[in-house]
Order: sequence, then C-alpha cells, then structure tokens
Amino acid sequence: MTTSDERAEEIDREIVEPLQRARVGLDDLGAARLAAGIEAALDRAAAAPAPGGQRRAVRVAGLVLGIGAAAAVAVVAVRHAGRPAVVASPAPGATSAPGSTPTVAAGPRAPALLAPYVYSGAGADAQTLDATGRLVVPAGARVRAAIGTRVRLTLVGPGAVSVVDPAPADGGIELLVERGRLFVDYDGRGGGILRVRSPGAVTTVVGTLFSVEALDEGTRVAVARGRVRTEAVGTMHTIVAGTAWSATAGALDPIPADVAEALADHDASPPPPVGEYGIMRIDPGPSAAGAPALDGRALAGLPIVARVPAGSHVLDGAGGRLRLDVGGGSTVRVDRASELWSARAPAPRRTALADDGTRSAEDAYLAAEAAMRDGTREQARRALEAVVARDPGGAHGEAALLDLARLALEGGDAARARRHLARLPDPVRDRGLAEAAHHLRCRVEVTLGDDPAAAACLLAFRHRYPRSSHDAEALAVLASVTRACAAARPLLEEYLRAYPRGPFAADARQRLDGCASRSAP
Amino acid sequence: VTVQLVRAGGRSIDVEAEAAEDARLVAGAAAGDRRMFAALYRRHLDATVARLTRMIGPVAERDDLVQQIFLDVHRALPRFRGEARFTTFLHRIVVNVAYEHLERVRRRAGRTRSFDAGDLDAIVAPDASPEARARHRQELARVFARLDELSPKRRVAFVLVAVEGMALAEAAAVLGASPDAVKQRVREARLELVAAAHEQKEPS
Repeated sequence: MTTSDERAEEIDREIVEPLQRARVGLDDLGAARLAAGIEAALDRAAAAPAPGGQRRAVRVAGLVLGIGAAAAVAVVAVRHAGRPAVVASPAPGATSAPGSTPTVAAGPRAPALLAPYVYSGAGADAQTLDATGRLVVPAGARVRAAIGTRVRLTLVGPGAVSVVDPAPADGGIELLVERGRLFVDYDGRGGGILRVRSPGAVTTVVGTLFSVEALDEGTRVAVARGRVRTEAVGTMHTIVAGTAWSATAGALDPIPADVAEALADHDASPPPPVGEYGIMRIDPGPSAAGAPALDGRALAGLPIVARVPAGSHVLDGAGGRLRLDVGGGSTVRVDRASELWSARAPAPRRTALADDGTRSAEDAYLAAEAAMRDGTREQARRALEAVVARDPGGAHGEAALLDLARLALEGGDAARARRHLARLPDPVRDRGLAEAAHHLRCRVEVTLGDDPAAAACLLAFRHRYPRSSHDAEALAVLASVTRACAAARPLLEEYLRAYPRGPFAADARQRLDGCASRSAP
Repeated sequence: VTVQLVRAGGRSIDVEAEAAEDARLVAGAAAGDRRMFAALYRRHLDATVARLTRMIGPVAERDDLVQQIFLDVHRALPRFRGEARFTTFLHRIVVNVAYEHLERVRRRAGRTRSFDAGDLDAIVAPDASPEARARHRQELARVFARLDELSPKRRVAFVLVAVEGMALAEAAAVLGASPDAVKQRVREARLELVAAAHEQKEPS
C-alpha cells in the first residue's frame, strides 16, 4: 500500500466515517419544530415587506411588526394577552415619532439604541425615555428599555449600561454593563448573537432570559431560560437554566432567590407599546399611599414615567380610580393634586349591558367584558356574539371569539370551543392575541383527547412562543400526549432541565423511571 | 425519458419523478401558494439539515440558519428559471449560508471552537450503548475540531465530495466552480487534514 493510500484511509477512518455515521437528520419532533419555525419566519417576513431582496432586509423584517395597529387594538391586546409578543418602539437604526411608522435606515449598520419605555424612581421625567446609547440610573431607580424587537432589558440602579459602538459585523448586538443589575430577555430567532460585557466576563447569548450583574465583588450571571456561555479569565462556562455563575464562587449554583424574583418580574412586565403611544407620568400622592396600578398591573416606584399605548386605561390608586385617556404623542400627568389620590375620585364610567344599536365595537366589547365579569354565562355569550357581529374580522371581533371559546371550554363544551376557534384566522391578525389563541387551541385539542392534533399544536406553540409563560405547561402536556417512551423521553428530560422544580417535575421523573424500567432487559 | 433509480437508505428513488414533483411545487410556490411552498420545504428539510450539520456541526444557530435557508429559497423562487434541478438550486443556498456562517465564526472567534457533550449528543446514534455513544462523541469532537482548521471553501468541498459522495460535476454546479477546482480543493483539504493529524501525533 502506498503512503498516499494510507493517508486516504486514515482520513476516511478518522474524519469521513464518524461524520457519515452521525445522526445529522431530524426526528419527527425536530422536523415539526423546524417546520413551525419556518412558518413563523415566513409570517414575520410577510408582515414586514423586505426591500430589494437583501438579506439584511430580512434580518430586520421582524422589527416593524404590527406597527399599524390602532390604539384600540393595543388596549385590547394588553387586556387579553397573557404574554404578548415582544414588540418595541424604535428599532435599531430606526427613527420614529409617536404615531408614525418607523423606517429602517439604509446603508451601513447604524449602532443599536436603547429605547427606554418605563422609568421609575428619582429623576423620572420625559427625557429619561429618550433613546440613547447609554443608560444610567441612580440607586433606587429602575428602567426598562428595548433594543429593536429582540432585546428587552431592565436595569436596576445604581447602574449603567451602554451599547458597544460600532456594532459587531455579524449582525449581533453587544452591550457593556459598567455597573448595576441587568435583566434581559433576548429573542435570537432573527439571527445574530447578543454579547454582554461586564467586569472580567463576556457572556454570549443566542436566545434566552438571563441576568448579568456587575457587583462590587465581580460579575454574576444567572439564566432562567435557555443557556448562555460566559468567558472569564480565559475559561468558558456554560450556564444553563436555573443556575447562576459568579466570579467569586467560580462555579455554578442555583439562582439566588432575589435574582430569580427579579428575572420573573422582568419576564412578566408588559412589553413596550406598539403603534401610537403617549407618555404617562405619575407623581407620588400627598400621603405615603401604596403604588397605583395601571389596567390591573401594579406600578412600582413613584415617580414613574412610561410610554403607554394610546387609548383608554384604568388607573387604580389609593383613593380611587381614574380613567386615563392617552392620546398619541400626548403626555398625561397625574400629580399630587390629582383625583387619583382623593377618596372622592369618581369611578370610571360603566357601560350599560343593553345594546342600544349605536355603540362602537369598542363600547360593545366593554359591555361584553362587563357581562363576563358581572353577568351570567349566557349574557356574556350573547354580548360577545354581538361584538363578533359588529366587528367581524376586526380586533374586537377576534378578541370576542377568543373569549367565546374560552367560555365554552370553561363550560365543558370543548367541541363548541373548537368551533369558535375555527372562526378565527390562524394565526389571528391581532398579534397581541395570537399567543393566547394558539394556547387555547392546544388546550381544546388536549381536552378533546385528539393526541396527534394536540402534539402538533403544542410543538408549533413552543416553537412560535419559546418565551411564553405557558411554556412549562405546554412542554409537560406535550410529553404526556406523546405516548411512546422513545419520543417522550427527550421532552421529559428537557422539562426537568428547564424546570427542575416545576409543577410537573415529579410526574416527569416518575414517567422517565417507568420508561427506563420498561426498556431494561 | 430516462428514469434514473438511485438507492438511498435502502429505498429506490425515481429521480426524474422527484424532480418533476419539485418543479410542480416550485411553480405553485413561486406563484404565491404557501401550501405548495410548505410541501416543498417539508420534502427537503431533512436533507438540508443533514447537509448543513455535516458542514458546520451541531451549532446552536443551526435551526436559525435552516430558517434563513428556506427564507432565501422563498425569496429567490421567482427568479428560479428551472435550468438546474431544484435540489441543485437549494444546495447552492445551503452552501452559501454555510460559507457565511463559517466565515463569520472565523472572523469572530479567530480560533477553533469546541462543541460540548450536549451539542454532540444530539447527533450520535440514540440506540447505541453508552460507551459507543461516548466514543462517537469523542470522534465527532475531533472531526469538527479538525474541520474547523480548514478554510470554509476547502471544508465545504471536502464535505460534499468526500463525506457525502457527491460527484465532482454536481459539486461543481453547487459550488459554482469548475470540477477541476473542486477536485483541487478536496485534495488540499485532505493534505491539510493529514498534516494536522501528524502534527498532533508527533508534536515537535
């Protein structure tokens, strides 16, 4: 045998054969997951026309989703979506004014901007919501900001974070945490990597919910979902969900309770408004009364200044309740003299249940809401059907159909729920409702016992909404409707990795043990 | 009409019939029919993922890159005139996306990466014994580390021809190069891999 033959054999043995033996294809679950991802990517591309067929245009396609949504739609979306899709105000390199459609700058890649949308604590004023390359917050203050549609962050002061300029050539985003506690969720599905520099460490993220804290004793990184890689002193650490790494410990530990709480708070916080928005500013009342709540969500830390979707909101304070009408581009201020702080503040106008035939779709929907809250199921159903008839194919009509399906399911009539959902487009046009609608579709299939349909629905749901607050439940149910052990095992293992202390962890372990004993010789 | 039958994974494929079905789906998809496009990508999803994985490894971004491939295909379909088979057109896009990714990694990291056990576990045979899986993982870690040392052009040509067994003429069509150029790239890749292996075994 010649030397060159020997060399060829050596390469075949060491490189070619192991690669040929690798299981590089997809199993059914992986294929379904990827197919759902492609569908979602096509939806995103279709929602944002890409000029000139350039790849960059596709990368930014997701940045301008749903900009044309009307103010009323935004109100309905906030009211209904358990966890609406993350959408931001100005996109990186974009310019926008209230009420206008952001436009993506052409030419060389502009540096990303941090676009604050809520600032609470000392120093809150309208200027603190200006887009900037560097955010600084004093002790006791907190700011929430977005970078385009992919990054949503909360910085707890004292802290400072900036966008590294120039932006990396790979289409990613790089942040520098100078000090403070930074909580981030990053959607990496549009491509590109997020890097976060902090004292002595660089953290690389593809898509996840995590925190980077620049503390006096050094950097600490914690991961709530997904995983990140942190390089410190030349060593790469992979940090998985549920764990934290710190420079002082140099090892992985469970996430400290206060960090887990802050991550959950960040995750549950409302996203930046879509479309028209106004500025709301609330100053503390004359007494040390508790913090108010906007549309049922508590607002922490006064004074606070925030972008809120244009439209009507309900503000509950210590002394009463205000109906807050926010116009696009306007500023609404609630100061010490406001009725919010007075016990004599009038309650918001209640819409009558009876349909006088002249109400707008929004009024009809408010009436239906009142019926769902105060009336019988039948009254609520009639009121919702009236909304559907008044606004077929519109945002209120879609919301009403969703509520009808929910009522039917709660009433034990899953078949009727499925019929209501079948009247909705898939995906629904109102992106704020899309996640809730998809989740409900899956619940209906599970209730009806249609396992293959439920599995397909849940797979698509998890792919389309990987950061959903329903993910743990979706994964657990997906595993339970996947009868074969071989297919269920990776799902159960994924559940235990992602939610080791989750409500279904004991069941998952039990089933894994059962599968193992069945496959044992 | 010549009907070619090719053995693939133990089943026969009528190449002409497959190409005709692709052409039908392409025509519908190019006219804006999303169901046709869905049928098209579902037909080719597995092969695309397999090819991309052999080229770049089981990287975390793989699913995103697959999405990008099919978005590129969707956008380019109206310009696809059918001079080549759809599979050739698709593989060109796969190769371009792989090139871009490999170049990006080289620019960004400037050095080789390593895959951890979790990454590699996804591509070793699931039904093998734990020992066999561990051995295969180690082999694959070495394979990708050595492929990382090659230039993207040589790496892609080597995977297409040496690993996947693609004919030089077809690889040339996919890579947009002459068969001689492809042959040269594969040869250079082999030499480089041998030299690297010997360097590792006999450190100076």
